[in-house]
Amino acid sequence: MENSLKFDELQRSKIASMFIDDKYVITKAICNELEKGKKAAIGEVRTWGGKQFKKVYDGWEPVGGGEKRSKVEEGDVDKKDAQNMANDKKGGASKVQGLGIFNDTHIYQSVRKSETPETLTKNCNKILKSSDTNQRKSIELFKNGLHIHEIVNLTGTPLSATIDYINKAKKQGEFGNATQSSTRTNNDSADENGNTPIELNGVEIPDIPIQARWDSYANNGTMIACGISKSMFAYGSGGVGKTYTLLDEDEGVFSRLKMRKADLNPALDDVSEAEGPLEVQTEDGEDSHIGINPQTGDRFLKKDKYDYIVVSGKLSATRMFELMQEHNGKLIVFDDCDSVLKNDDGVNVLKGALDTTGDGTISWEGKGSLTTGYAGIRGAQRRTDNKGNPVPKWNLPKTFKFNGQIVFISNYKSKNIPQPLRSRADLIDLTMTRQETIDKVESIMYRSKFKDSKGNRIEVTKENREKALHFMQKYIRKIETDDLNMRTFTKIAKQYQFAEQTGQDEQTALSNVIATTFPRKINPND
Amino acid sequence: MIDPIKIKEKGLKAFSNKELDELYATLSRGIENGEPSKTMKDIEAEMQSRYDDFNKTKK
Repeated sequence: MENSLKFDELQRSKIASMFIDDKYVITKAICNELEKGKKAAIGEVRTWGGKQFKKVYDGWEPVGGGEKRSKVEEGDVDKKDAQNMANDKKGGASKVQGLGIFNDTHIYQSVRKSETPETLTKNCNKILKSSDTNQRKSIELFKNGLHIHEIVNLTGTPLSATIDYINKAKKQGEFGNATQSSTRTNNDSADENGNTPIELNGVEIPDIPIQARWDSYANNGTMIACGISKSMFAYGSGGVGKTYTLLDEDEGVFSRLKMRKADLNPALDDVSEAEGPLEVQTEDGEDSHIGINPQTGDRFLKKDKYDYIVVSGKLSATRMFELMQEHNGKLIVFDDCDSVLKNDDGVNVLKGALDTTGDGTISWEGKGSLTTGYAGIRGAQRRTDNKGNPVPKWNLPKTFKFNGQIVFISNYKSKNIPQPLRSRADLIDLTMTRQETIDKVESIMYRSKFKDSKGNRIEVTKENREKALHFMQKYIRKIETDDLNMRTFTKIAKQYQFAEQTGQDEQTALSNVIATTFPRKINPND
Repeated sequence: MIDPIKIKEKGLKAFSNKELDELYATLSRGIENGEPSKTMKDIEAEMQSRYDDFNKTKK
């Protein structure tokens, strides 16, 4: 037994011995009272609370059996408590293993659910073995989704002190995002049995099913599309439908609401590197969203032709700031642009963009000049070459008033979202457990679209989609967490489809699927 | 330490912080993989209430 976990085997065995049946519990209190004074001999009878108890080899039992209760009455220590004491027989080791997920409400429940029991146990043990104070350990365990009783149990900190630590941390804003999210969901206070969970000033909140979070995500997307909300920040495991839900060309929220997407990929459109903005030609050969002034040859954005623009891929903070000026007044969707979260400039720009309280003024505090290849941007000044001749590039102002909207879709986990962003945007946590991810894959697998290397649609039969799902269900614990998503499903389903079309037997098909899903488990040095 | 059966007679407020701490710790030790019981949640709520009262008094 690890000392750091403070499981007292002696106490444990005493408590276990005091459990007589599921209707009668002799508490540790009684036991302590009976143990006082001289060591009791086996068979010795002692009295406590006007009742007699006999010492047996492994504890105490009531004399005459007259004290056995026929039922647990309301207001007594309840049946769960009795069961808890019964479970105590199993000892501390099983408790460490038992850090599983249970249906309790906790503001960090999503953090806990995002971990496997193994990683959760590993994280908790790391915290417990650290040289931190009990206060710090308690707070860190709480942030991992552990309930107060588990913290009390693992750290040995009394409940009163634990409550004190958690409340202080909350007041100091340590639970910023989680606390904020609690205020959003406090209304859903009744559980499935109609009971209202006890709330400790926001320390505990009712949880909502993951599907409700997805519905909320779509709902917030609708609020953005309708202009009601200014910004949204959605995060969670990649490849499970965040982009699809909002941006799918047929079924996405924005398409269904007839929003027009700009045919540009501004992440590639870095005027500091390239000659000019990347233009995407439409089928009829005309630029759909970029116009050219016939007199000057300057390019400009046809802002009346689109409602939103999607930016995806690696993006610098500078480029993000430029984009927000270029497409000011429009909705900008940053999809999978997590690179900007890694530096302070990016976070600062996003802070300004996501903030719904100010007047929208954003300033650039980073180094370097800001440029655009589009004419007509407010406050921009045309650049000249070495000889003083005007060139089709403009310097952008370092402060401007952003009156557009922002949707930021991130694959980051909750704990990696920079704190300044958490408190500003409408946050939607779509982090899922492995099982929830598989359920999500199942719910959208018949609708998902398959494309070939050139982006053309290819057909994958219902049977092959189901085979892919069954494979993922079977190896749910073997597939890397980051790979448990629709992308892997797509990859596997395509393998099965190709196998069918080329007449491969089942074993070959399975081999191909395994080979493309799992790495070899070998040591190359052997 | 208090006998949890006496909670029915006296109510949680009759017990000291230390007594409730000890009872809570005892009850929590038995949970292996499940929700805390009503008694435990009541004790948590009571302790939170005491914490709030204490801080109000300090102000």
